[in-house]
Amino acid sequence: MVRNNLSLTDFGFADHYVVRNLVGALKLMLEDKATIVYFSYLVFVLLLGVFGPMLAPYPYDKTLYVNGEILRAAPPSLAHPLGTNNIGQDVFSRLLYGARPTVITGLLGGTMIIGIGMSIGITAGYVGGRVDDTLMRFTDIVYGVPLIPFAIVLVSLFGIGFLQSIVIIGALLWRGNARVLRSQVLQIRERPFILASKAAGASRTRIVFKHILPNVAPMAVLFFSLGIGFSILIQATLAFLGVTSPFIPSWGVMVRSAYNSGLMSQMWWWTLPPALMIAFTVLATFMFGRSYENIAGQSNENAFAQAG
Amino acid sequence: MSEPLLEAEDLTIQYRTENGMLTAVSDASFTIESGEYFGLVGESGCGKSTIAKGILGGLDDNGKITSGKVRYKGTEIQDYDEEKFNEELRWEEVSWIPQGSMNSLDPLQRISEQATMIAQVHTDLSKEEAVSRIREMFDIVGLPQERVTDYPHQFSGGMQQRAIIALALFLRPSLLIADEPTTALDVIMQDQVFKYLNEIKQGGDIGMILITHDISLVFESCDRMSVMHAGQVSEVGPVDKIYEEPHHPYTILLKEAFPDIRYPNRELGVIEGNPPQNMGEVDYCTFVDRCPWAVSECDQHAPALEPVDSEGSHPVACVRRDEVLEKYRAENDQTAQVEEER
Amino acid sequence: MTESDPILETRGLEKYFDQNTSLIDTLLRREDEKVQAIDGVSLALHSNESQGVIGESGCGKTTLLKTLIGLYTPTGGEIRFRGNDISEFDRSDWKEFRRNVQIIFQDPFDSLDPKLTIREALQEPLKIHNISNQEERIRNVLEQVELNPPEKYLDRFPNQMSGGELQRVSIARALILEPEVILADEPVSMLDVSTQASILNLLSELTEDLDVSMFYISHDLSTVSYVCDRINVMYLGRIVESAPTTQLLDDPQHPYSQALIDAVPIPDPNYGRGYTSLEGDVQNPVGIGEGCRFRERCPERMDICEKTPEFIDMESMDAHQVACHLHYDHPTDEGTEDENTDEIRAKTEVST
Repeated sequence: MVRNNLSLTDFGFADHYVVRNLVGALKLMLEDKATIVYFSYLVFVLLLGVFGPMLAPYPYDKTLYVNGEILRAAPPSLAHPLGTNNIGQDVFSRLLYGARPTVITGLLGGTMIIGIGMSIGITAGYVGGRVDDTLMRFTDIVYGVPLIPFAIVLVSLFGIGFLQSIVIIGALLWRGNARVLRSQVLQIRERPFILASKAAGASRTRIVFKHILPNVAPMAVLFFSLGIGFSILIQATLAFLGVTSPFIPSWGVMVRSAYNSGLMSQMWWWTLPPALMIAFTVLATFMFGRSYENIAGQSNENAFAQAG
Repeated sequence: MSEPLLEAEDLTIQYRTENGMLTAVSDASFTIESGEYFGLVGESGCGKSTIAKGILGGLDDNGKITSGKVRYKGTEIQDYDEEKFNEELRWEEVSWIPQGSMNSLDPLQRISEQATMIAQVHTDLSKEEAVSRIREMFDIVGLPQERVTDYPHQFSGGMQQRAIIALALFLRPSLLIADEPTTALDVIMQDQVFKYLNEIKQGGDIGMILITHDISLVFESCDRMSVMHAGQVSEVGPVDKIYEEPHHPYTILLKEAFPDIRYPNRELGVIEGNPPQNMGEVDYCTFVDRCPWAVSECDQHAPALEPVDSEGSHPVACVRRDEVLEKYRAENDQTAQVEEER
Repeated sequence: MTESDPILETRGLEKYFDQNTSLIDTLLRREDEKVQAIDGVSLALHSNESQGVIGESGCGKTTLLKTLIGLYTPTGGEIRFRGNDISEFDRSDWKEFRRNVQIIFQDPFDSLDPKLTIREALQEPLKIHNISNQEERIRNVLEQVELNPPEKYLDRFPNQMSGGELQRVSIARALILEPEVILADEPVSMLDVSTQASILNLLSELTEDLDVSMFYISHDLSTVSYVCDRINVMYLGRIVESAPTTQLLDDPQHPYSQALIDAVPIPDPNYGRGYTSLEGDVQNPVGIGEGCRFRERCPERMDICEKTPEFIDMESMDAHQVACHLHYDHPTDEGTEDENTDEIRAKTEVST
């Protein structure tokens, strides 16, 4: 059973294999309904991150007045679809503004996590020997570090900062995917087509970039996605604990302010939207990663099943 | 003539797939007598393993016997459900060694424990009786009796396979279905296994279906055999008859393709093309695109299995069953002559 | 280098592997027993020659192959390519070596990167060695392996092709650099019989028509005999016999070769071969020590087999070497050993 693979050459594009792999991945994604849903949601959040502030009816820190009085704790209405918070700011606008720090956190944190994880995991797996031992011992040490308390300590040393908190997350959370990618590389490394390349004289670099990376790509996409999700989640947690800067209106900060006001349960229009946004976004990243890795892995298996 | 041990009559097995009904076995018919070793030969994908699974209700969820009958000792079994198979057939009457089964021994259980467990599921034997029987079987397959209490990893490959054969036979079934039992073994281990299988044959009335792609094993160890191609039975008959007078084009060409170390320089025959995958009803001869003697009729209906001899012991599924062998021999003599003249 | 010098040879090649020692072993100061995967193998491959290496699993043939191709570094002995010791190679020597010694693997479905098209897979060796005319060479080599017309296959992926086709592509990849030596690891054992025949025919033609020498490693004597002019029988890391194919099949000298040949099934119900009398299994190659490695299972075992037999040329036969005490005179005692050997040889001839 051969899938209907339209070749890029049909469109006159240069058939370079990197482009082909990316386009192939995209096509693969679009064939599965669930994946499309998750991916669309994430694209939606991304767009919010980019355009949110422009769409917001009010600036995030503008105090609103009604009849000369601060419009505190107003429930949702036509003018303010999500009401106002306890100091009279429009919740809907704050929600839209809050998308941006979330997206930045996710992308930056996720990139750090997968970047460090892949470098360490693939190097350890491919080079082996002492390098492998050293890198894995290092990973074990990092594993032992408890994330939240460590973050709190570092913050007290280096001060509260938005970017700082992301860097802390990225510098620790790569530990999970390093191990997994390493074992994937260990498996791939012994496969005949790698040995054949070596026997033909391929350099280490060529083998890693041309043969190993494309074959660990599905797993890397999974971990990138998880990395984005975790970064957002941890950032929200840190925000809730008061460890990050309260001046950047991320969703986590919104929940925290609601909590601090003591009116969390009454002002549900203030508490629920950011919390739900965090939850859905993180959930979408996890689900996207899982389902993509599932179909990408399956298509590899189909290849062997059909031929065998 | 007593009734056959196992009979397959126009058996068709299909799998439901995304692209439609995949026909793995089409109108297969053959019989196996008591105490007989029957070889089922064919290349990968020909349906031989599927038949074995079909007989014992071991097909995957999307597979089904869509038509035809299977009779065991006269009783029709193709419609049995899981429970009935377990109660009446599996292990006690018919035993199955699936492909790659060397890995199917539980690594955490001693052989004797596995035997006890099997006995308890299928019979009323006590633990002592089960162990005593497995010890007997170990003896018969040439393994030291004390080793029934060993764990699988303590046996080497060939001995593991013999342990599995012992487990398959200790409840004294009448039929053993062995699917590629020695493919993963080295040639000396393989010979050891067949040595004991042969002793078992001399000893009792256990029949065996040997499913393999290696025709030499069938020629050496089996009494009767059948050749399959892409789900269809090409030819059935006694081993020496098929060896001396193969009538189906596939059998003729298949024999040519096997190397024989007595004649290491003999040129190996090549069979063009690949076996087709059949979707839906198979109303053609599956060998038609690969057959050097194909005619237009071959594409129009599936050839019936009809005997080429008067006793009916050698059915062949080919419309040209009476001519192909002669033509083949004539062609080969010609080539031999041309070679000599050179 | 003259015509008769070997292209690729090994002299006393050894490859030992360390076992993983546990903490307890280190504490108890247990000797680190090595896995002697290859122990003193001497082979010589000449141009236009195809030699088989035959042995059962665990005999070390795959390790031999990987060591020959340079994926493992030998722990002893030497490998010479065109007369030069490869342990003294510099980078450019290695490049030459890699261009001239190629390999074909057993599993056709795993021998090609699933993410690359056939064209890209064949381009890779050319790119590595900076060879031009890539498109032309790719086409030629696909024609050589009978994948015609080449256009049909160039843009396909491995998962769109059959086992036989993929193995042809592997052979094409091995040929595209126009190597002098091809090492083949069980190239047909995962193929159906009807496909095997055509690949075996192809491999035979290669050595004849293309000036390529081949080491063909397998456990299947039938296919090796078809393709190879000379066969080396390997047991537990050592070569026990080496002879031209027909000579080995007609008159094997080593008891293990005899047992191996006798155990091969014959596609003839009337032949009446008789089953093997060999019991037990191949020993563990860990810490195996001195002496003939086959002695535990050998029907002809003598006391002297506790000493490692030498690999000698048979006087009575051409180009035929054996490592067995039965076949050479032992100089130590006056005449007793010689008699012993003759007696036993006589016994063997009677029973054959």
